[in-house]
Amino acid sequence: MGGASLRGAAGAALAFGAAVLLNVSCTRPADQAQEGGPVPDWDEPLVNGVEVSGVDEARSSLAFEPRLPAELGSPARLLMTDPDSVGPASRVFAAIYDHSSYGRFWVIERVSEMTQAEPRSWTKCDPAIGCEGARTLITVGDSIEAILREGPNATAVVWLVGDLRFDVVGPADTLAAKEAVEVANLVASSTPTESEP
Amino acid sequence: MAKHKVVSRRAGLTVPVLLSVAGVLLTPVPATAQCSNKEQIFWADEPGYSWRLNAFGSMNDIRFVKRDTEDCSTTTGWSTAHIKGGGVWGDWVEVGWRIKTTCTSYACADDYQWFSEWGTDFDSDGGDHGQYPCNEVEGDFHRWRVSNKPDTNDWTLSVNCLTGSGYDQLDVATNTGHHKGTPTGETGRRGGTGTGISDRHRNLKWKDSGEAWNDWVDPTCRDDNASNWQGVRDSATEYHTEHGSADC
Repeated sequence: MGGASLRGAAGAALAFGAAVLLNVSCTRPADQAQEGGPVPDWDEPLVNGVEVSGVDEARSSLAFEPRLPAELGSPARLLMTDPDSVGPASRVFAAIYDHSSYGRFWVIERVSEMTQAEPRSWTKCDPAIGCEGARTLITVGDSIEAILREGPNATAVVWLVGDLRFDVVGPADTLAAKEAVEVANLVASSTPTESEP
Repeated sequence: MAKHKVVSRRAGLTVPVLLSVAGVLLTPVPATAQCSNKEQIFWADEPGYSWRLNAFGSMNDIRFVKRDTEDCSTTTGWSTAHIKGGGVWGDWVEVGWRIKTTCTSYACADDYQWFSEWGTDFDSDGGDHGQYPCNEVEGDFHRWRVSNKPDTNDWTLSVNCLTGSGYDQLDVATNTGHHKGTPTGETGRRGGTGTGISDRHRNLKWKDSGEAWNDWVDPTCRDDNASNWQGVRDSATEYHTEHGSADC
C-alpha cells in the first residue's frame, strides 16, 4: 500500500546509496497500456442482455436474421438486447459458446454502425497512439473482408455483410487466432435459414 | 499507510540486494497480483429498467481527489466520462484522469494525468495522455466530456476546468465503430484492498441525437468488482464511492 515500506531515514539513505552504486533495477510487471477499458466478463457480452430460449425467439425481436452455424453445436446461452430498452435496429444478438475444441467464445451479431472502411482502418494499429496488439486484414467465408484483432485481452474477428456486423470474440489466453478465424469462417459461411441450434 | 503518497519507499528485486547491503528492515513486497488486479465500478444512466443505449455523448463533473496507491509501476487509479458503444461491454470511448505511478530503484511517485482511450472487443485502438489540465486542488470538480461528432463514429474528448475558460479539446477518438451508446462513469484502480478508489461524479448529462445535453434520469451501478468499496447514489445526477462491501 501507499505507505513507506523501508523504515528509517538512515536505512533510506543506505538503500539509496546502494541502489545508485549497484545500479539495480526494481522490476515490476509491465505497464498496462489499457487504463480504463472494461475488464472482460466472459459471461456477459451485452450491456442490457436478456436470455432467449432460441434463435426463433430472438428473430422475432431483431431487425435481422441471426445466423449460427450448425457445425459449432449448441451455444451455452443465447442473449439479445432487452427489447424494452431500445428499438429493433439497435438490438444486439449474442451467442455464448463453450466449445469442446475452442473453449469459451462469443458470436455477436447486430446492425452495423460503420462502413467497411472503418474496420479496415484498424489495421493501422500504432502502439505509439495507444493501440494494443495486432490487426490483420483477412478474408472469411466467401471472400468476405474481415479484421483479425489480436490483443492482450481478446482475440476477435470482425466483418460486415451488407448492413450487418459480426464479431467472433474470445479470451486472448484461450482462443488462438487460428481458432477464431476457423469459427469466423463457419459463421460467415452459414446462412440464416440453418441457424436454429 | 501513508496518505496521498507522493513518494514512498518500495521494493522488488532490489529488496534482497538492499537487505544484504544495508541491512535495513523492509515491509513485505506487494504481491505482483495486486499490481495487475484491475478493479472498477461503472455507473450508467438507467431511465427505465435498463441502461440507456441512445446517448451521443456523456458529460461528467468529476471531483479531483488524491488517492492512496500501491507501489506498482502502472496506472494505479482513474476516473472517466465514458461511453459504452452499441450495447456491448467490449466497445468503449472515454476521457478523464489517471494516476500514473512510477517506481525507481528506491522510491515511487504518483503523477496525476489526463488520459483518453477507446477500443473494440476489450482491446484499445487508441488513446493519449498528458499533464493534468486543471489545478490539482482536492475537492474541485472538472468537467470531462465525450461527444460524438455528428454523422461520424468519431468522438471529441474534452475537459472544462470550470474556471471560466471553457472546454479544451484533448483528443479525438476516430473510427470507433459507434456513434451512440451508454453514458457511463467509471472509477478504477490497481493495487488491491489497501488502496483507495474514492470518486464523485455529479452534474451527469447525456447528449441526444439533436445535440442537446440532458440530465441523467437515474444513475445505476451495474458492474462493481472493487472489493471493500462500493458506489452510492446521491441524486438523479450524482453518485460517489465509499468504503463498503456491497456489490454496487
